[in-house]
Amino acid sequence: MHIHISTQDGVPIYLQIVRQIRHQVASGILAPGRELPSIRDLAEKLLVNPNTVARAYRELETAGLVEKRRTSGTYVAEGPSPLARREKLRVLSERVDGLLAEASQMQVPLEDLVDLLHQRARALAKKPSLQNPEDHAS
Amino acid sequence: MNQHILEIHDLKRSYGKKVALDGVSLSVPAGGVFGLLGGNGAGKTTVLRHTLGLLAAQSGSVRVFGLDPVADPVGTLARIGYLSENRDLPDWMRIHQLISYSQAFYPNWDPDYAESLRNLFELDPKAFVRSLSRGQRARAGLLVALAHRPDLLILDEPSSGLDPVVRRDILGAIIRTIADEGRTVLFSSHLLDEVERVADRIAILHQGRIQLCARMDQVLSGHSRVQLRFSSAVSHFPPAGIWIHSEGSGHDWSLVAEAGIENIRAEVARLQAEILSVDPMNLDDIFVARTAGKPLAAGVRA
Amino acid sequence: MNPTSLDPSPWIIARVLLADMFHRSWIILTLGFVGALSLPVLILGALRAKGALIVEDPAMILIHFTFAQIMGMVFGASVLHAAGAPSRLFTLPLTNRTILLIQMVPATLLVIGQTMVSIWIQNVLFKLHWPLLGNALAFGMIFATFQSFMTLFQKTALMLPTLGGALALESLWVKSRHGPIFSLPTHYWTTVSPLDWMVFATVLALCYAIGMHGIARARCGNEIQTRLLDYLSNAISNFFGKKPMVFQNAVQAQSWYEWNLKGLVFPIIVLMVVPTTAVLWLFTDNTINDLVEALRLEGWMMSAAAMIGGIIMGNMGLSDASMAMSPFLGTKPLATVPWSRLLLATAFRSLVWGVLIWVAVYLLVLGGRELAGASHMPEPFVWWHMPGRILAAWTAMTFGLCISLTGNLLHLKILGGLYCGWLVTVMLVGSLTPAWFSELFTISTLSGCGMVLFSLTLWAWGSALRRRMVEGRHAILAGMVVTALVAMAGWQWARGATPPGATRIHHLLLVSGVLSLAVFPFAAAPLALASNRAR
Repeated sequence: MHIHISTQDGVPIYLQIVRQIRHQVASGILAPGRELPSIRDLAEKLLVNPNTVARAYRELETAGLVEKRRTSGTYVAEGPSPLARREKLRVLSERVDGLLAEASQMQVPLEDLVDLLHQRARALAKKPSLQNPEDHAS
Repeated sequence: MNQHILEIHDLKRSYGKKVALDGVSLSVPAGGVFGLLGGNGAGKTTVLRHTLGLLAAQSGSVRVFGLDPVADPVGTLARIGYLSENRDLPDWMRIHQLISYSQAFYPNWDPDYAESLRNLFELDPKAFVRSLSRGQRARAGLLVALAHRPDLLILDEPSSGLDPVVRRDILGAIIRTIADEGRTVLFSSHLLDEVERVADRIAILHQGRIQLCARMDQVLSGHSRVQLRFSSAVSHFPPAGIWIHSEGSGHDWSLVAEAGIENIRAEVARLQAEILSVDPMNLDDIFVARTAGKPLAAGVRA
Repeated sequence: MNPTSLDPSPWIIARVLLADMFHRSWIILTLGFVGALSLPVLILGALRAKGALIVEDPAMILIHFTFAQIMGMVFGASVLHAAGAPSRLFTLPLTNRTILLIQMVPATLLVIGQTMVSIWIQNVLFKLHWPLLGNALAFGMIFATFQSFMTLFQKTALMLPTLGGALALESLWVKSRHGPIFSLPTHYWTTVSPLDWMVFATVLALCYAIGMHGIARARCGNEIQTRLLDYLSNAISNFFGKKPMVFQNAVQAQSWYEWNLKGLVFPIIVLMVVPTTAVLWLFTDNTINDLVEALRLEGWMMSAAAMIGGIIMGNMGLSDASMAMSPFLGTKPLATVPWSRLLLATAFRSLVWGVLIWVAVYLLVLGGRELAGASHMPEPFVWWHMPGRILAAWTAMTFGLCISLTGNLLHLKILGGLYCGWLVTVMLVGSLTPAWFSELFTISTLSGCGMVLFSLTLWAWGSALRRRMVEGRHAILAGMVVTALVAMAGWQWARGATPPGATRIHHLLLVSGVLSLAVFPFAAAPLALASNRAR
């Protein structure tokens, strides 16, 4: 699992972890049932405070994206729970908002943008997998 | 966990006429990482030296584990691991001598842990301390500070002047230390990136006073940069109320607010100005806004 | 490219650097000057007070020669300290030659000037007719040799033998100016012949060449090749350093630390002084009784070495310049009282080694004297001289230790300043007032000093008792020890070795003050350590 932490833009670190795991779950990089690294391991890997990782995991758990199993670890939730679905849409709408704002700034009409979306979807379908999404949601 | 590992109350210190600490009060709760921020000469090292009992309080009080570190150095120091700013290890010792020597002072010393750290840090037991590079010296100091699994780990400017690999070791050590239940880390730094990564709580020290002391997430979410446009030109806008920093001239001003968005809206409406943008701030910007001396008003500059 | 073109204005830089040197080091230079002058003036003053100062006595030539050497060494050390290492100038835009000249010329001139002024002061104070020029130039030359070898060999193992050889040759030459080499000096070096000037010039030119070579190499970071010696010293330290160490407790570990770092200083000083004495004796006078005498005197002089050893042992800081306790030591969980006791134990251990070396040599010489069949001892054997020397060394060592243990350089400076001030006053009073007054003045100030020392000891014990660093029974024991010592000293006087009656009370005050210092450290060391630890 790859997570990139940046301290440049003022986004709290726990939020950066939450967002990136959301993306990875939503985009299928993290498959349902997959185990997430333990809080301590992830903290040491990212060099962030373990409490921060714990907080991120708690938020993800409340959102229904991951589940804690007794005595083992934290896993990506099985099946498309309604909560997870809502989460996916929420993540996507954030991105769409950004896209729309940028398009209007470049004065690209909405119809052209929709066309572009279809076109890109066809092109991507030919490739075997999605590329690793980087978080630029903010 | 309401217990405080370290409690400093109204601590004052001056060296001759120079005031180093001017009434510092600070509480560090047990567990977690406490970051002490400040520019060069802000008084960070002076605070830490009081904590270690190396300086006696001229006025005010210092309690570590509820004890006075000056009156009871053994009771406090045996539970503290310390990495000093200068890494002043004795040059004439070999690594294995440094380890045996340090071991004698701490009943809780864990020889296996010390050995595993020595391997991890790639320290040659036969090497003299004087022959170590800066990074290796910091690692040796870290080993000695960690191997007795101290309840309180104090690091004074742990990564200044070190390469990224050694800095990773030090941050990793901090994280491992608090991942063990109940341990506390107190460290001073001016490298805000690492503070933001590892600290639960921070205090900003400036000119011998605490400017800000809060949980990390509250600090980040509590400050915003607001771009304003006044309806009529303003030549002078001193920070006051929710505004802690201001710069700009004429119609356009950039302000730093310590308040929620509702308060900001209300205040801006009162000023009869228009909000251009409200952006989150990173720790760097907050630090600068908090510690940059008296902001130079545009009217004066022009 | 011509390197001198990089030299913006060597004269201005040299002037700034020299001004800086005097600004930084005027205290140490003044202390060095007065300190160098103190021993000759005190001894000559004592001789005059006894009526033994006879200007025409041939023994005065030896005294003159010896004084010049002592003054050269003491002041030379302070000049070396003031001049500092040449490496601090390496990054400045100066040519090698300018650096060398800045380092050597003013320092050499200072040494020459100091020798001349000091001899002149002695001439004026004691109405002597000692020649100024010869010895002054000779010490300038010796000092320049010392400095150039330091520049070339930089504290490597090669320095000691080479410098030793060069200095021995020069000393022999200076000795030859005062008469045949293997005998007592027979005459003063009154005129400096053209040949002598040529010798000076040649040696100084050699020093210049050696210094230039040293700076040229040191400036580009080339280490001198001492591969064999490095290998040997590494092998030795590997042999000793490999032993796995296990310490049972913190006191043991800290004792190891103190002894390894500082304990050997005093024994090494004694080890160095003893053979030096033997060599000096070889070149002046070969009668065994004089060697016995010299070693006996050295037994008393051990106190001075012990004081230096104690000052070094009490330094818990990172260097000679910053004696405040280093955080590394300050954060060791070891209580102040056991720590101060282990420091005193280390000092005692150091003292025992130094005394043993001296006693061994002394006994060896005495044995040799028996074998040589020498008839009478120059001075009858007195039983309390040996324990007296040890007690004096202990007192001096632990007093120095307690002063530097406070970690406050100011205390040492005050002590040195008081000593110098007292000396200058005694000198002035001695030359301006009648003999009876100057003697009264000296003994009064000394007895006043004794009272101060006694009060200092009382204060230390009172404070330590109040802070529970010592117990009541310790204080009672200490009081008994001091009473016994003073009683013994009084008993010695009662048996005849008494100064005139009028000053007996003065002597009692002085002696009880000095003797009380024997128990001073037991209370003062924990106080000093505590104040150094938490400033």
